Amino acid sequence: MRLALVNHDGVICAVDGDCPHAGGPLGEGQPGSGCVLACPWHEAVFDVTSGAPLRGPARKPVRTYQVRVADGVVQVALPMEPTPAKRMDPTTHDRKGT
Amino acid sequence: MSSPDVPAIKRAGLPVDLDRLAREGDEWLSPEERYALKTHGVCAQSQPGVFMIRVRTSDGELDSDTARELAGLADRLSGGWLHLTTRQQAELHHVPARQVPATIDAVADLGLTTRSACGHTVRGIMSCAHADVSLDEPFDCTPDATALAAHVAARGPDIDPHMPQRLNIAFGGCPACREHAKLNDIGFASVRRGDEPGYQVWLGGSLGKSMPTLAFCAFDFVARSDVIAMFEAVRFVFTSLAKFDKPNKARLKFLARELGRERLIEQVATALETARADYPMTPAPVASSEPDYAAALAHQPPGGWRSGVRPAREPGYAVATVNVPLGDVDGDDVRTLADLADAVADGRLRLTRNQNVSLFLPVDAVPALEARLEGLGLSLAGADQARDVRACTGGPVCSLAITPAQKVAHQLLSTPALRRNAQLRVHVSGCQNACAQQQIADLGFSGSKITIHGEGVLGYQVWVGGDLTTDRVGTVIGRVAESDVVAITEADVGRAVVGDVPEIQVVDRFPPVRVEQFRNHTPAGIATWK
Repeated sequence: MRLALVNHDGVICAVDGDCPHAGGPLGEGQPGSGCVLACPWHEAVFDVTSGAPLRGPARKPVRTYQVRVADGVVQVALPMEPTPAKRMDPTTHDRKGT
Repeated sequence: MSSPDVPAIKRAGLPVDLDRLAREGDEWLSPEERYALKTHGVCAQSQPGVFMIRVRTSDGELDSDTARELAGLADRLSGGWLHLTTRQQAELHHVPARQVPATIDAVADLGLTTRSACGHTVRGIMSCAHADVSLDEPFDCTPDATALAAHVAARGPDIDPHMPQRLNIAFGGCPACREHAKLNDIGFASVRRGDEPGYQVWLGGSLGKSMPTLAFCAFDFVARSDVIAMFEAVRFVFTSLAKFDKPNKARLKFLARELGRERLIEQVATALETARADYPMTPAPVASSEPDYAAALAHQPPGGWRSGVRPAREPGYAVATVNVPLGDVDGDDVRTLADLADAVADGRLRLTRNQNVSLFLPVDAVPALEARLEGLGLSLAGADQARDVRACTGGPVCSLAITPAQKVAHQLLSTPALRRNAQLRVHVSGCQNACAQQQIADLGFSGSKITIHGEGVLGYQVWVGGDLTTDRVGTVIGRVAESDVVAITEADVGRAVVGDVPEIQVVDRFPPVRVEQFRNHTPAGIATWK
């Protein structure tokens, strides 16, 4: 699982690290003014506080996560259930016939 | 990594150990084995360790249940992303190497296949998305396309090692499909000879990076019962005479140029005599009645007929085309479309060559469809028009791409000049391989590394004036930096079509232009011109 963290004037925001358009690495994206993050692949732009797409080609929001900073450590609340964008665990899924 | 010796791996029978791929990942693969994977529909991406898997649809359509299952695969393996191609196929991306064999199996469990979807193979066979319900099709070619697809699928492993290059095949007889036949190695254009349905056969079309060529009409009429025999006759001539050891010169178009059209036709006609006996075909019955055009047009949907809502041959029904920007959907989109197909349409998602999804439904159901689409950020507006820019996957996902085609394509979606000139067709490819067919667009872009004022930048070759109705392949008139594609489109399309340039004859489509006219209307310094 990858995450993208954005530091906006001291406020840390966390979003899913895969762009919902085509899986681009949001962690390598360009943050902008007003809590936004642009995907480095196709320049889709997201509001990292709400996850809302502000500019295409993304049409869907990026997932956001709650963040807290404790003793200088950034903590991100991850969901208990597996998120849909995760890869299948190769150790649990065998090819048919093998 | 070195270039693969493709002829050698073909002669070896295209061996690749999928079980080892599942156990160990992909680092052990030789270049030749990576090529062999293509014949399983698996292509490397620019990102290491993950692959694109291309799914062959059945005549360009998915039933609702299959679509939902495919959406589930996309969610689990592809970050939810499904890319719809210009050949009616669906692509999963970012599939981890170890998951590739299981994914191939999972696709097979859906009744689909990835076999022969890439590489030098008989590619997914295209068929008019609306052939069974269209007001414009002479008859429903779907059964014949399906029969040929099944024939090819059953023989894929035997055929693939002997193919000098790919064969693209398409069926259809409406005006758009008849034009599209010219882009294929074998185009079956539906026609009627009196009351008898059959096909014009077009040969040798290809928009690949070298020598983009439109097909020529080789046979004026071929009976439906000869479809498979005709394919086998062409394949026999192709595999016998094309340059197997020089894949870059092995497309059917090169053989046509080398032999001459008449000689190629003779060869195919001779092979057809034998093939008829070896490959008999009993075509499924198709409707023979003429549609009642007046009745079909009279019963309009709320909002009337428009680009995304076209009359079907059955009065009271419509073909609604969902405008899918750049061909990209996610799992939720596909599931919603599948639910809509069940709720208001005939349970089928019809994939179009413009990377959209069509539904066949009662006209009265169109408003309900539009309301549901709004929740997905989709609509019926602008489908197949200038705003419906055709784009390949492009970089940085596709390993062949030079530019991120979708970035520019998305920018063009909202370009005012294109919104004002809806009849234009705009295509963007990330490289010269023409997956988005830039050569037949009114305005096309193909990704390239270019030099502007001595500086190397990412950019695009600019193609103008492609027009299949007049058998015209577009012309490259210059190169533009990626950052200036929108500016050049706005400056030149807007001015040229509204008549600012008196020398240019304004016609329905983007007019043929001389280089100096284009140069004169582009802001200085943003492009180089031939």
